Amino acid sequence: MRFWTTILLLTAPLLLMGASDTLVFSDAGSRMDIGKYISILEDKQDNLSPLEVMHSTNFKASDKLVPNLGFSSSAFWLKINVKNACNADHLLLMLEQPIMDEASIYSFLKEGGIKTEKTGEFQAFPKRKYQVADYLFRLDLGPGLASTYLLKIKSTEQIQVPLVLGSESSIFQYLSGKYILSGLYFGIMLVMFLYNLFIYFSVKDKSYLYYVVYIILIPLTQTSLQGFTFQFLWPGSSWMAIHNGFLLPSMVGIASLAFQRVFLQTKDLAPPRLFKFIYLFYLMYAVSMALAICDIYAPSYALMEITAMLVSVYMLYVGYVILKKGYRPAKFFLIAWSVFLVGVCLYILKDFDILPFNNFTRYSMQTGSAFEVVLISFGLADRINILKKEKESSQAQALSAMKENERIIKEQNVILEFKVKERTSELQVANTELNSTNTNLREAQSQLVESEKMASLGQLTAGIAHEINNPINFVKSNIKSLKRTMDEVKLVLDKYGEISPGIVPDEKLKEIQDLAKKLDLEYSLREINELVKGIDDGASRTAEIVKGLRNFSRLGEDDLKYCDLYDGLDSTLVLLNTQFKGKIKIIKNYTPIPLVECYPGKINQVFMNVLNNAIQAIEAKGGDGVITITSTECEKLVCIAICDDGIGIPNEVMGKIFDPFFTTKSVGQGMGLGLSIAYNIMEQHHGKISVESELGKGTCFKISLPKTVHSL
Amino acid sequence: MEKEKIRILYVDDEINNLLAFKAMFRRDFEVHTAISPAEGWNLLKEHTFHLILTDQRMPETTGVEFLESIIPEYPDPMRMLITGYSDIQAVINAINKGQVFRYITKPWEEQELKMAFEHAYEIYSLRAANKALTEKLLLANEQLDFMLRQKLIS
Repeated sequence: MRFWTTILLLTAPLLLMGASDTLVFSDAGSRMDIGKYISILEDKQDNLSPLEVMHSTNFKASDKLVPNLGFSSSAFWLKINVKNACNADHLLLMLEQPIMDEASIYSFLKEGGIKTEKTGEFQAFPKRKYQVADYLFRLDLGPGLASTYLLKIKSTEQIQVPLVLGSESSIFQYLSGKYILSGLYFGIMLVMFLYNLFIYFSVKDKSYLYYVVYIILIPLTQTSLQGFTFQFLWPGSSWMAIHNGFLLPSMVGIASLAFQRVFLQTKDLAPPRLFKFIYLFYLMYAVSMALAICDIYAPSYALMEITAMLVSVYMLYVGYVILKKGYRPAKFFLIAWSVFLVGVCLYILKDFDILPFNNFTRYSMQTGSAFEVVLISFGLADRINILKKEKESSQAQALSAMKENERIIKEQNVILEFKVKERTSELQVANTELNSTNTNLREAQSQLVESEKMASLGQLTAGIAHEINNPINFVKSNIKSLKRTMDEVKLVLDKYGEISPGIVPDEKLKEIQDLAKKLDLEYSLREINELVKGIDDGASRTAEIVKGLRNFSRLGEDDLKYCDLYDGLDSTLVLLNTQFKGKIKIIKNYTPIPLVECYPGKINQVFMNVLNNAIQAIEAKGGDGVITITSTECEKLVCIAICDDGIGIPNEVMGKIFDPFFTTKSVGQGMGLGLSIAYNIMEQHHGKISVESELGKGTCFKISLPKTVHSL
Repeated sequence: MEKEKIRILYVDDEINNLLAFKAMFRRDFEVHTAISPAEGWNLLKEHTFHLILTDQRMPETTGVEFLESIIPEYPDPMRMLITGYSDIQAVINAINKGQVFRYITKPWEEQELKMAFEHAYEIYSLRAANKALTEKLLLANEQLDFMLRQKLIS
């Protein structure tokens, strides 16, 4: 009973449908697009059972080869009446749209009952009966039989329903052809991917990296539309299968924007305002992706497609702007992008039902992208060329700059050498001049030293003349007086001579005595002693002075000689005697010192100059004073300190006293060479002359001489 | 009465010079010697000198200074400077300040000195005679004046 009711129930619609179009499949070798043979029922709540649907009268006949159902959360029921008029024992129904969340077929069996076969992206791929990206349904319809099938489809994406009916062999033949095309496309993309990846590794140009990312995302997107990503990449994940159609295109959009940015250097070449749009598009893509992740499919898809269109226009415009600036890669970019965009446009137009769904529109995007990828590769290669050219030209520039530099350096060298020569000759001239000046100066100096010597001698002469003239005076005078006195004595003696021996006449004796008295003989005899003593004294004093002079000047003794410094000091003091006699006391703290190797005349000149200064310092203070001469001996040196208690030396002139021509005396009183000469003489002897002084208390000159000139 | 001997004072810090001078001129002149200007001053107080000779270079006081110092008290003696060596400044000072009659250099020449002494003495004598005559004249004049007054009164 139940069985019969079922039969009834099932046959009734069959009968009903008999009136409608029944698809008669008659050629086993062919396949048919059956879009026009189906009727469609929208099940808005997705709660109808197959039986309810079967008996529904709300089916609308499709008038398109590929029915376009748009975006909808509804489930759609497609009813197909098929009659197998060929000899194949079963037929295959192919839904050539892999992005269906659910695609189920309900077969009403002859024996009654419903055979259900559910498939779709909600189901892991390996569970499919036919392991192909498109959905294949086996229609067990023997030759001559007819049956009605219900196909339930549901998708979050754009629902287009390309349905194909054919024998198994014809369908597989078709699929293999289609897969070959896809494989070809994917092969092209893979090769381009690998090629550009290798190029990236070898040239390390960042634009290649972006490009590589871009061209891996493009085929992924394309193939995701054909269900291959689900079939091969994530067959277990229906979430990915459902969402990849939203996420991958957005990622492609972002990647293409990023690639363009690098490839065309939009940041530098495009106007900043135009460039900043890129961030807006990034944001739009991101929003679209976020929406998709949140399962808000329709707005996500819409936003994605709008963004894609805007981006296409934007990229074209940017490419144009940059091309106008004469950047060559932009040309390749524009062509490639245009080709791709044409493909995309065709595809989108198909989606919006403006263009028919056919093989051309369905593959337009793939074809476009394949061409684009190849063309951009050319562009990149060209870019490399450009870079190479730029590099070459910059190298050439660098080379020419280097050559120019070299030339300049050479020129400079020549100039410099010339200048050096010039300077050298100038210097030589200057040197010669300096040498001659130096010689002149030396001559002048030696003349000055000589004249200073003469001047100091002249100064001495006054004293010495007086000193010599005194003894000479009384010697000369005494000789005359002595002669006269002797004459008188002789007179008396003559008188005595007149006396004959034995006879001494008193008157004669008286006469003699009177004469003696008259001549004051007694005084004369006493005077003779004094006169002789005076002569003796005068002669020895003169001799002493002359010896002192000779000792002082040491004429003819220009060689180094070991000599007694005390001799030199004493003879100097003799010469200076008149200047300090009776006024200045000389204290000689002489200790035994060895003979010192020196030029005696020169050392005496040092003593003379120092002692002279000491005398003058004391005279300037008021007249009376003491000069102390102290000698000491250390290991290699003999030191003579000549200290006076005169006016001392003010601190401000202390540093200058050894300078030539420095004098505190008024003009004409001295040349200011004395101490300078003393200093030079000490240097000649490798000795030292130093001074300590306290203003108002006195000055101490210390003369240190090495015992032998070469011992230091 | 024997003619008065010319009295000479010689000041020098060199004893030998003093002795030599005395030995040479004692026969013709009355020679007094002093070893320093101080001693010279003492002798000036004891005797009246016709001539004063002094050495220029002496410790403490120079000849010119000594001569200059005695002028106010003993202006009459003829002054002479004798020196071994002196610069022009000393000579100028001798003339202007010491108002010397002669400037003599050592070593001295006996004849030159003798003549200088006699010449100086001559001037000295003339001055003294002039002075005496003037005094006599003044006295005579006074006497005449007195006699004139007596005559007028009587």
